[in-house]
Amino acid sequence: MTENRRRTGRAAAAVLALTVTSGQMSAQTVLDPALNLYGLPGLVDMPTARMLPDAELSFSAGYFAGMTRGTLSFQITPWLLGSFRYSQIEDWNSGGFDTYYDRSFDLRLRLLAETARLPEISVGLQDFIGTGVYAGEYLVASKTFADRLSVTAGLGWGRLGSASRLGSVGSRPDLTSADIREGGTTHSDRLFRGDVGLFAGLTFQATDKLMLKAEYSSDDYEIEAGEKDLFDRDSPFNFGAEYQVAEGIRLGVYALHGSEIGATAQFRLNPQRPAVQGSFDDRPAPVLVRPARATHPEFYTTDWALSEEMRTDVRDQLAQALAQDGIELEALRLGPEAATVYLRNLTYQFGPQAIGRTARAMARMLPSSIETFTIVPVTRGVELPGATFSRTDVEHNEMQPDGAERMLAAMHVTPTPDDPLPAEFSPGLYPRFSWFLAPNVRTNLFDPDNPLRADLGLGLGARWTPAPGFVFGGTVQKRLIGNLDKIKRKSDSDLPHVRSDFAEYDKKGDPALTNLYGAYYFQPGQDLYGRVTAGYLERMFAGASTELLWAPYDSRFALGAELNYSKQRDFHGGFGLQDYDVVTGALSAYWRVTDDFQAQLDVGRYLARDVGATVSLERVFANGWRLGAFATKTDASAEDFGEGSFDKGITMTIPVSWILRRSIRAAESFTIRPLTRDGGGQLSVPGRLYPMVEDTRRHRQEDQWGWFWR
Amino acid sequence: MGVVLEMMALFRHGMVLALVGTFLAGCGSDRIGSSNMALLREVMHEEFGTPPTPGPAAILTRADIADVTLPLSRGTMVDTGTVATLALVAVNDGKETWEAPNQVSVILDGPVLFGTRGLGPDLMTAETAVPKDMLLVGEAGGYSRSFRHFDGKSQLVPVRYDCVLVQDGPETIEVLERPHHTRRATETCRGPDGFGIENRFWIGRDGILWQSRQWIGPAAGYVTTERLVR
Repeated sequence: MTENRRRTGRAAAAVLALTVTSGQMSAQTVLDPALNLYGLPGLVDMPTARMLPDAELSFSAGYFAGMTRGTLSFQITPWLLGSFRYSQIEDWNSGGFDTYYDRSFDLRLRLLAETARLPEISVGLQDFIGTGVYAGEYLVASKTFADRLSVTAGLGWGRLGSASRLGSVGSRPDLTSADIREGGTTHSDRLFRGDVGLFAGLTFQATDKLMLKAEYSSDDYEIEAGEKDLFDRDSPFNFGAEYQVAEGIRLGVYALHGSEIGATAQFRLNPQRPAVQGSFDDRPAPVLVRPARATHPEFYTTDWALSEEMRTDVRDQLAQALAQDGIELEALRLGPEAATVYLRNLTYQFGPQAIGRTARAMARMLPSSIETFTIVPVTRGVELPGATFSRTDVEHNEMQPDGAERMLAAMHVTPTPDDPLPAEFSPGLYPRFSWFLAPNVRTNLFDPDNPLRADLGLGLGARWTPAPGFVFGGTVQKRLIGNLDKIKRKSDSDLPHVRSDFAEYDKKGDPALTNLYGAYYFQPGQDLYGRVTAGYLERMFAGASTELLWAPYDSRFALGAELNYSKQRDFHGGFGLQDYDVVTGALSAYWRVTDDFQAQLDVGRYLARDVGATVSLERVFANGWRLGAFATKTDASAEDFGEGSFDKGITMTIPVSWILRRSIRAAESFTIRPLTRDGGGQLSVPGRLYPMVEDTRRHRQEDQWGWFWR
Repeated sequence: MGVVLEMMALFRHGMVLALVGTFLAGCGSDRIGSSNMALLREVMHEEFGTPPTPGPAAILTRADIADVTLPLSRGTMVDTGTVATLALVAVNDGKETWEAPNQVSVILDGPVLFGTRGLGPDLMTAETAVPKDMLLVGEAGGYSRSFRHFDGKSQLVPVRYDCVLVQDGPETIEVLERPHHTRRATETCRGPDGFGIENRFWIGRDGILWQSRQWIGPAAGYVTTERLVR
């Protein structure tokens, strides 16, 4: 298979007083929060102070009065919720839009968690870097009573302060439909400014599955109900009922503003809530313990090491035992008292599981005189940090309650192991040719003409590895069915069209050569990894790329440098090139900030010859899930960049093993960009170094070490 | 309830199908490990095939195993009723690894369940030393011990339980048409969240565990073991 690769002091005090003094402090059980029409934990259209469970992903669609909102929310930390929304407003008829499409980002920060006496209090920013059509801020408190009733009251600004005004804080420019254009700029001069509105409501968990909601809305829908006359806002009161049809799936219907009917569909998923906590992998073969040396000294002779035949037998049997476990023996160094296995992990998502299975196989198959086991994972001919254990520890710790912890403590690590000698390689490994044929889905999102386009295609790939470290690969892509070639929008970019001509590639290049390249991987020194790649690197660029990475095993930091020269490919998918060429490169810093977060900073030159930096932050899970966001700001001005002002997006990686409940080294990565423009574009080189070494670094290995004896 | 379960199943099937489409439906030349097609077949069978009906082990008779001279046991998953015969394949530090024909193994430390493999939500390890000693000499008492399972993040987490072991007295039981004079003992444990476990052991005078009902974990529930051939 392919290698897959992502404030208002007084009023606020009043709200607090209202919630704090009312009722008995009987309940701390926080109800599982339901979502509102914006896809945020909330009432009907208004927010509550609630958070989702940590790491929860929600995906929701809400509809009323010709307005549809699709929202992806992620509980980034227990106290911070982030959302990305794509909305459609029918019959907008202005600013060049008939139907208006809008992308927006929200953040909600919890200031106080609910206690027996105090409510949960949160502050939120809605649509704070988008075009601002949904821009609003709020400070809100929610309190649970008798386990079933949750009461909410809050103060809103912007859209959320357009009705039931209590007063105002400074001034805020009026938002009209004509202002809604560029996007990508934060409206810091507007935040928590202007009129302040009061909203309130309650949710009641009528049965285990049924929730009833009522609210008093502070959103006047000035543009939609006024200027555009999309619906009649006859009343500030909204009501709703939601039913949980299955775990993680909830449907809701609502009566809004005395004139409209609305609906939501809510889906929830949590990377920390897999179908099975564990895996359905085959059981491992038990360790066979050697007879004691004192009573059976004959087992411990080293005579076998002198016989080439015996050594070959040992290697073949070990290779076979490893193959049963989905591990390939790359090379074996066999001494009378020590052995080093170089392995290719073809199966296990968790590196420690591959190491543990290998240790078991060695304990079963190797002559008793061998007391020292070294296990070195190899990828693309590069030796990753190796683990050395005593065989006695393997034998003893297999059956200890804290056996995994003991193996971690007993492990001696060689950060940069030696290359195997030529005679130590398994026969038949080099040269090797392999191929694959696999379906794939490619998408194009958020085009106002058609917000969801996709192609189902077939990729045919081949790979040739003539010697350790050398990889030659190529992939051809053919569309089976789809509509990516129907994109009509032409790029209006003032920057060189390095990415924005994507539609031309889909229109004119089918079938297309996706890539065709040669690469060499090497280790120039201790903790150093190197790569040189040349050829047709990606669908839009061909050229050469070099990379050097310094990633000490023990450190939470790593540094990388990349330098590339590339020339733009033509649209037809063959070998043709356009005139545009560019030297790009970056210095990268990788940092595992906490157990949960991985940060990356790239500073360098981008494809449109713009210079700047990319910041990305990802929440990483031991089970392979990753959810993150990135933003690139370069010297390309917001005007030159165009709609969106700068490049940004959301990345998500889902390990296939999480769903299949068994080990498989595949993961699907998605990058969702609100817009694909030319500023801040990076060359897409196959087989970059950091992802290759990340899982074998200490912090990552420790995350997953529990799998050693599985 | 039935409708809800069906919908949950449909939701899962949908996710699996989506994956099957993008990851597994491909083919290639790599020969090691399970091929995508083999994995696909297996997954499709698991998702859409009919659940396995109890095999011949369920209707096993003493006559069927008259010739067996090696240690043989039978394990039954209490929640699902899945039955499998278990053969002793390895002993390390007193822990016996018993393998079933279906890629599941059960590890016993004397009479006490030490771990399982291949069940999915496996018991990775359990602290067994104290109850093992008490069971073998017929003592009663209190102690605490940890069980290790994978959590939702796929990390191995030890959870400590406070336990009491009581000796219930002699009891004659029948295991596959054969009576055994045993001592019955019951271990009750309580976890940090108040979660309760009750394990029961029937041990012969010779220290052999003839029958037991032991907790694997919160998701897998209990397993019963019966020793068919000593």
